[in-house]
Amino acid sequence: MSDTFNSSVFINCPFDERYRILLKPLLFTIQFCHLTPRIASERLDSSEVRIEKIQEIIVECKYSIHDLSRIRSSAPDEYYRLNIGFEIGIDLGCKLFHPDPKHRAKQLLILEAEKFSYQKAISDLSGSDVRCHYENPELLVEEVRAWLASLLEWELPGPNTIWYEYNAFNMDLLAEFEANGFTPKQIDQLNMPEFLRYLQEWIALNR
Amino acid sequence: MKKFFTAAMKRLHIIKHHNGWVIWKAGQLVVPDIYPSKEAAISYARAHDPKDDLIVHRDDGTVERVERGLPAR
Repeated sequence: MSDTFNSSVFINCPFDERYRILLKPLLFTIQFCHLTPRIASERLDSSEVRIEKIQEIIVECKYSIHDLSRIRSSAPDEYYRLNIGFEIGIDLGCKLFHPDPKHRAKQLLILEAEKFSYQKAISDLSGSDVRCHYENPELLVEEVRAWLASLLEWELPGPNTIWYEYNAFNMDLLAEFEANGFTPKQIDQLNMPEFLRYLQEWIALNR
Repeated sequence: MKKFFTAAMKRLHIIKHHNGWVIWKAGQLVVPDIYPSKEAAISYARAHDPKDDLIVHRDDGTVERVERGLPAR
């Protein structure tokens, strides 16, 4: 249990289509650095209550990455989404107040798409080290890898290696699923459990 | 899952790298240069090894297209 805790990373991010180009390299980077990404969509069981599943994952992860990219609504009359901030709160609460003291060692990375945008939406985070990826997947890989390198005891591959391998992974993903009758669009929209299973197998074989 | 080792050895990847493009094959850069455009990288890669498949990636790392290399004699 403790080993699982020490190697698990909770991903708290938007689930819109536009974010997929960031989510996939984010998951790849974590897995490539010998950790296990955990995400609410990792299993599709309609009988599970979403917030209970998220709480369970938060308690099981030492590390967490929270992406505030969508703190601003993008269209008139659109509500901006509060889920990410809400789940940062649960994670921080777990770190500070969980009865098991191992949770005091929790480590959080908060990301944003525009520099200092978080200060306008969640000013309570002012003074925190929030990193910016500018919605660029390559920069996201670099930021996440740099954060992990500052925390982990083992040596990590360089950011360029991770990015190039992620590109190669995409070719194998395409080839394997096209051979199994998938269209490129279906491959792009692969459900999370299937994507994670392939990702884990690919990295185990190719790292 | 099959390990695509043989296929990987015959693939030249054209990959976005910050403000340019690189040519990468089986775990290493083919040349250390960063090309200013995707087209420049493709031209060099084609000349470098016409037998290899060219995997042209998008900015986000996904595959834009595959150009098959010339068959080996």
